[in-house]
Amino acid sequence: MSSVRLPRSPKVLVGVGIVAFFAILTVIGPWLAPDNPSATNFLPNLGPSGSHWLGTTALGQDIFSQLLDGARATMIVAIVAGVVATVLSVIVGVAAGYLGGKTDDGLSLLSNVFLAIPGLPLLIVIDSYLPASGRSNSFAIGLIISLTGWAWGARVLRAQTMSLRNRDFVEAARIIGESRRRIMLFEIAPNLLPVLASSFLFTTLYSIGAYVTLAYVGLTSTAVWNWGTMMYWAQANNAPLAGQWYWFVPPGICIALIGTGLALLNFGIDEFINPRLRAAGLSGKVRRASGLPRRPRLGYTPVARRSPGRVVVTPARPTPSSTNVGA
Amino acid sequence: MDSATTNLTVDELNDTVLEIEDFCVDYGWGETAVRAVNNVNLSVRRSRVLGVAGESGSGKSTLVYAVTRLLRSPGVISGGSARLTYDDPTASDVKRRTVDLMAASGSELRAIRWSQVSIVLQSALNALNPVLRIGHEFDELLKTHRKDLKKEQRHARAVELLGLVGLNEDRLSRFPHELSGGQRQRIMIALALALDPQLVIMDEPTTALDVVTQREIVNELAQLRARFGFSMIFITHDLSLLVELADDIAVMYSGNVVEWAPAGDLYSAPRHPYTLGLLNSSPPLSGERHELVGIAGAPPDLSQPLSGCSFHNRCPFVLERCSRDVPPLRILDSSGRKAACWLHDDPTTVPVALRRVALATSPGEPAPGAPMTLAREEIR
Repeated sequence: MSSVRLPRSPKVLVGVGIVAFFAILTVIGPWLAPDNPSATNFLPNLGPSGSHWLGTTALGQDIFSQLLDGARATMIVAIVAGVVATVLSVIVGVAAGYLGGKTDDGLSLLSNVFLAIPGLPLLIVIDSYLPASGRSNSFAIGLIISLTGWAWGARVLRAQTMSLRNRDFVEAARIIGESRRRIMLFEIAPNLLPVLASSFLFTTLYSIGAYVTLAYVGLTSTAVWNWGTMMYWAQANNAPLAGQWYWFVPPGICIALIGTGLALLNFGIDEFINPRLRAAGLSGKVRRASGLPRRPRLGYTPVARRSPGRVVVTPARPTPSSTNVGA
Repeated sequence: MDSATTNLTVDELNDTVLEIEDFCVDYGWGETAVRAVNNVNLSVRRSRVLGVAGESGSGKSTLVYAVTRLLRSPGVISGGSARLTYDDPTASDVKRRTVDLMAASGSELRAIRWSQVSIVLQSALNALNPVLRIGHEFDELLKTHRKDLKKEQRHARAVELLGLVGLNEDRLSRFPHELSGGQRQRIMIALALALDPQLVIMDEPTTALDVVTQREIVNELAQLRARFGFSMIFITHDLSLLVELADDIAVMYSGNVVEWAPAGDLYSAPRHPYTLGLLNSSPPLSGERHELVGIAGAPPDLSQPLSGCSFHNRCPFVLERCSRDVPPLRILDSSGRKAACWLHDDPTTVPVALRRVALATSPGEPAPGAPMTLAREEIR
């Protein structure tokens, strides 16, 4: 039996495909773009055509180039914010859950405050204090977004840590004198991986939304192309009223696709990390092929007689040959 | 149900509650499937106790979980049938019904579960909800299955059930963690008996308990069985415990039933080398002490194809053909006892240890005390 088996269900594969596609776009998108996205070289308000796949803006810029170029900033902000917010939530959540007492009170208060403050207005306020150079810096924006995105993950991780800290294996580690840091990192953290993974994916998704919203409101540098700025300009030029769908629909679809991809990937990560789910053995394909129900149902073990025509062994006089193990 | 257990007629002797035929259970499916229970035939007689013994991984728990359709994924029942016969309480006159458990729908199974077949699990602490008082567990159970009972009647029934297992009624207001292991296990037994089931399955109910508590519980089970006449499947790895409680014993090894016999016969005169090994690895209940002999080696890896008898590489009396041919489970003598062993094919190959004469116990009679007077010689 292979020790590591990647999940193969179609939904996971689709998720991996979508996320990989956009990851590649992050790297080579600007290089693939046929034109300079900011150059106003073309006739304005052209519809989609062979030379401009998604038409041109009111200023005569190539929209397809903007879409490809905008992928990078969007994804970088999302990943920076996702990573930073997840790290913050692990530190706060695990520490609060494991250490308890005053530490827990303080850290819980902090995360509750961040949960209670509406994220977007806070973002807008912080962002409006940024100098222009900061607004064009994807890393800076990512850091700011992560500030509003970590609290939810911290709450979930704290709850999970609290339920883990009194398990026998953690108590045993305490008794033999392992250091707190070691217990938190090596005994508890691996058990948090499924929660952590989904927390990371959904924080990333939240970050995309937050970044696009900021850009759409006009609070990021217009010199940096991202999918939010595209929509900002489309809105500013009345594209929805003029029926110029090719201007604002493609960035919207890209955002929705990434969201779908991340959510699908989440299923797979859960299956991949959780050894118990991994050991469940029967894949959907096998289940269909064997006529078993698609999902195992507790308290209703499936009956699937493998070879109905085989020799029936009677209690009194059995045939010895029919007892071989395996098919 | 009300018919007492004494004075059984011949009809009642042949009367079975559970009939398991050619039962096979796999873990997984296709080429990687592991056969955990292989062509098992067993029957549980009405008001009798079937003991299932074997070491860890022999398939005894898998068997009963699969028969009751409780086995978790990736367990798959890959062959055979299991039929439950019970007196239908909903029928106007007492009517005997037989249900094919393998063909039963979810709602049919739900109707049978707990009211006809109940189960007592090994870990009572995990089976009881830690935030509910014991009384609540009884109340919920009775509320669900006996809708006609009023609140006071449910309470009275709970008190009565606790009395049956020797617990005071003040336990009803306790939480599970406030009770000792033995008390919790008694609660589980009381819960299992709450609806007068015809079959109670005990999955190593005493394994987590100390021997004194074990003894008390086994005695209590024997009394309750005699009083209410339910049948029992008792799973354990402790053969000497089984002898006291069971009427018949089936010994399982790597998914096969290797020996089946009335309890006293099996204990005093084992016919399969594996049974002998099991008996020799625990101290005798009385009589001379002898050196305990374990069974050398380890059970076979079920994921590997196996030729011949699954016990052949650990068997002290192995014959040449044992590694080649699979021995069938066959009736050995007029008492109806069965063993799956080639040694009994030819009278000359039967070793002395497997040739002992069974002490006279009438078939089907619980055998308290009978084996106590035995001394056993060692292998070879």
